Formats: sequence, C-alpha cells, structure tokens
Amino acid sequence: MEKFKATIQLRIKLLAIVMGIMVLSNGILQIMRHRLPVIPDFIFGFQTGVFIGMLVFLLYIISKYSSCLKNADALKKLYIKEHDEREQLIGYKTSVFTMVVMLIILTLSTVIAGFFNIIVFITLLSVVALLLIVTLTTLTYYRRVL
Amino acid sequence: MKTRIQELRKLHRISQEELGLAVGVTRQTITSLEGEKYTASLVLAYKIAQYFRLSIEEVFDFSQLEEM
Repeated sequence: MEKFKATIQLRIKLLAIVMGIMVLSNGILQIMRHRLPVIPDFIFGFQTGVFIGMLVFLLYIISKYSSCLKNADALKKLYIKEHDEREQLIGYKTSVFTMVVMLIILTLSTVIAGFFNIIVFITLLSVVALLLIVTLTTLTYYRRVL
Repeated sequence: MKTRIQELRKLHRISQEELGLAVGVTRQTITSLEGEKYTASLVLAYKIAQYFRLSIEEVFDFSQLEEM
C-alpha cells in the first residue's frame, strides 16, 4: 500500500502542476485576447465553461486524493476500486466499443462532409487517420508486450 | 459460472463488502460473481478459495466448462 500511497502523492503533485499550467495559460490568453481574432460570445462562454469545469474537477480529484492519504481505509478502498478486475474489464470493453462506434461515425461523417465542404472533409479525414494511427500503434504495442 | 460464494459467505457470516475488501475487489464484483454474471480470474478465484480455506474447485463449479 506504501507504493500506492506514493503514486497518489505523485498524482496530486502532477495535477497541481496541470492546474498551474492551465491558470497560467488562461491568464496569458486573457491578456493577449485583444491581439487574437474576435470570437463569438458563445465560443468564449464555452471556453470559460470548460476552463472552470476542468479546474473544479481537478480540485475535486485533488481533495479526494488528499483525504484518502489521511485515511488508511479510504486509501485501501480507492486501491481496490482502481485495481478491481471487473472494473478493468468494463473499462476495456467500453473503450473498444466506443472506439469502433467513433470510427464508424467519423468515417460516415467524412464521406457525407465530402459532398458539402472541403475544409470539414479534410479535418474529419485527418481525425480518422490520426485515430487509426493511434489505434494501430497501441494494438501493435500491446500485442508485443502481452 | 456457478459458485458457492454466497453460501460460504452466509456460512461465515460476512458481507459482500467484507469479502471484497479481504480479496481486493469491490462489493459489486462479489455481487456479479454470486449472480453468475462475471467469471473470476484465476488469481481472484484463488484468493476467494484461500479466504474460505477451500480449493478452487470447491468454490467454483467447473462442470459446465467440462461439458464444453
């Protein structure tokens, strides 16, 4: 359990660094906003919402990890939750199913977009290509490792 | 896969949560095992059998696998 405790401590530090980078990046972007192209209000609202949402989520995770570090039972429960074999199987199955559905939807969307807009078509095609490259690379890696 | 987990758990008067904590899985996994929805890995089957001081075959019913 000591190894897991060290992992949680490391995660807290990394999440704090991510939060710091996010706040810093947002600050720089806000200062430089007048130099950037003017964006519609709803996009600005979306960006702000994502930023605040991510910060709240990260704070929640950090506080959850911190409370687990103070309580041995909570730490063990967290360890079990993260290493539970059924949960892992559910995760694998969900990932594979989601990936296949995403690929099908994106490929069909790419074909349809080709009839209307070349920029959307190329963007979607790039996403499909990147998704396929990442999937095939991961597949090859795990076939060699496992 | 059929198991005797529920029967053994009641015999030892322990909850699903307690058994889960002892063998390192969640209560939901014990529920799934008892409900024959999920088949335990070899390691988990070993841990559960060890917990009840029985062999794996005494806890898990492999007869259906043999028929296949």
